[in-house]
Order: sequence, then C-alpha cells, then structure tokens
Amino acid sequence: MTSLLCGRNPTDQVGAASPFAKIVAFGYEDGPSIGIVRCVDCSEAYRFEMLATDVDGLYDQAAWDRGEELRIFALVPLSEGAFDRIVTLLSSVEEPIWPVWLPGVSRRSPELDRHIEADVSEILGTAGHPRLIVATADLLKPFVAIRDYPAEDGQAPLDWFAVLGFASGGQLVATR
Amino acid sequence: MATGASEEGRGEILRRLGTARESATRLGRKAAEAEAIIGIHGVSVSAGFETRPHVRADREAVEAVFRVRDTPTRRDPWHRTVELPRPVTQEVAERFNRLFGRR
Repeated sequence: MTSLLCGRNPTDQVGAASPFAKIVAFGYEDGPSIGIVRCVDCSEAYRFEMLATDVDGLYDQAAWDRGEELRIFALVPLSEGAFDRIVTLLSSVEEPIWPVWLPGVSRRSPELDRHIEADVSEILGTAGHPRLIVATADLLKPFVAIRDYPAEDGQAPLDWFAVLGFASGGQLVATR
Repeated sequence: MATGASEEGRGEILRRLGTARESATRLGRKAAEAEAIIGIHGVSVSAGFETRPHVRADREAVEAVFRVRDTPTRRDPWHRTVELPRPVTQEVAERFNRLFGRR
C-alpha cells in the first residue's frame, strides 16, 4: 500500500482504534453515509462516501444482527484546514453536535442550505481523487480492512467487498 | 429524484434497505444510534428512488403503527425516520418486519 492515513501505514491501523474523531455528515442511512471526517491526532481530514453496505448480513451475519454491519467507505483527502473551515461556516447557523453532526436534520434552514450549496461545495470541490477504501461498521470505530482505492476501468460497478477481499458466508476477515 | 411521494407525505412509499428479517437487537441498536445523531429513536427509510435490494411499505400503513418523521438530508431529501418505542421488543420488531413484508 502506498498511501498513508494520518501519517501512518493504513494497514497498521486495522483493528486499532479509529484515527478519526469527528464527522460532519450530509447523508444518513442508519449511520453517516457521506460527509467529512477529521483525524483525532492530526489535522488530516477526508471527504467520505459509503460505497457499499452489508445490507443483509451476507458477510457477517452476527455483526449485522447486532446492527454493526460492515460498510465500505471511500476516503478523499481534503486540503489543509478544510474541515475546520466547513465547521466554522456551518456552526454560524447551527450548533454542532459531536462526535457526529448532521447539519440541518432537526430543523431545515435556508441559510444552512445556502452555505452547503455554495461554500461547502466549493471547499469540497478542491478535494482530489479517492485515496483509500476502508471497511468498518462506523468510521469512528476500528477498521476491519483498508487498501488503496483501486483504479477504475469505467466498466461495470466494482464489487467493493471483493475489492477488499471479502467473501460472503459469515466471515468478517479480509484476505488482504 | 423520482419518489413514491404525493402531497404532504400521503401516498408515499417508504423503502428500507435489505430484505432479511431484522431482529429487535439490530433495530434497537440502530434506533439508539439515530437518537444520538438525529434526536429520534428510529431507523432510516426513504421515500426516494432506490436501486439496491430493499423492502417497501405504504407510509400510511407504517404510520398506523409507528410515527414517521421527515428527516431530509443533503444526500437524500426523501430520508425519513421510523420512530420506534424504547426498548425495541421482539413484538415491536415483529410488527416492523411485518409492515415491510420481511420474511
């Protein structure tokens, strides 16, 4: 693996405490599905997007039954200070709730919408390409697997579980 | 975005990801997580278009049993939360699964 995550080899972080501490989510499907996340120990931040979820417990029935189903996220590095700029913008309209903040979910605000559509979109637009994919029940919980984001060939959608080495049948163990 | 919605939620079709039956433990955990983030003890559904495997139910039928709250997000303006009682008992899970036609 060539990419680093918070200055460390990502594979060393599998099974360890999540490097992330705060999430601002812009989507929610029984958990944050898209948004931004910030490291706990450094200023690194990423835009994340859920690529797949083990929606019926095909990959780990026990975890799914507990409500800790495996989810796969893409991580896109954000520029220095982007997370804090977004929080500053949005918190001028709504008080943040940590560790996971879903702005506007309890009360819609045209001002908040304007900030997100204009300013936040502009900041997120400066993000590069996806760098990593991680499998975890929750980005604030330990990672089960992680690897570099694969090169896309523009063909059929990728099987993200296969990309991370998972096979269906109750095994929550990645092969790489 | 195409939806199953008509005026003010009437005629909406609510979709929930997955097709397998959900246990009280699972629903209870998801509801607790949502309460911490959204402020509603409930689980996610959407009145929007969905291509992934899912189950569906009429909003009116769901609302006859559980409260349904509009909780739009930037990603899904049709996101809804089905509010579940605390604790989520086996009986509650059975009702929920039956409404969504889960086997």
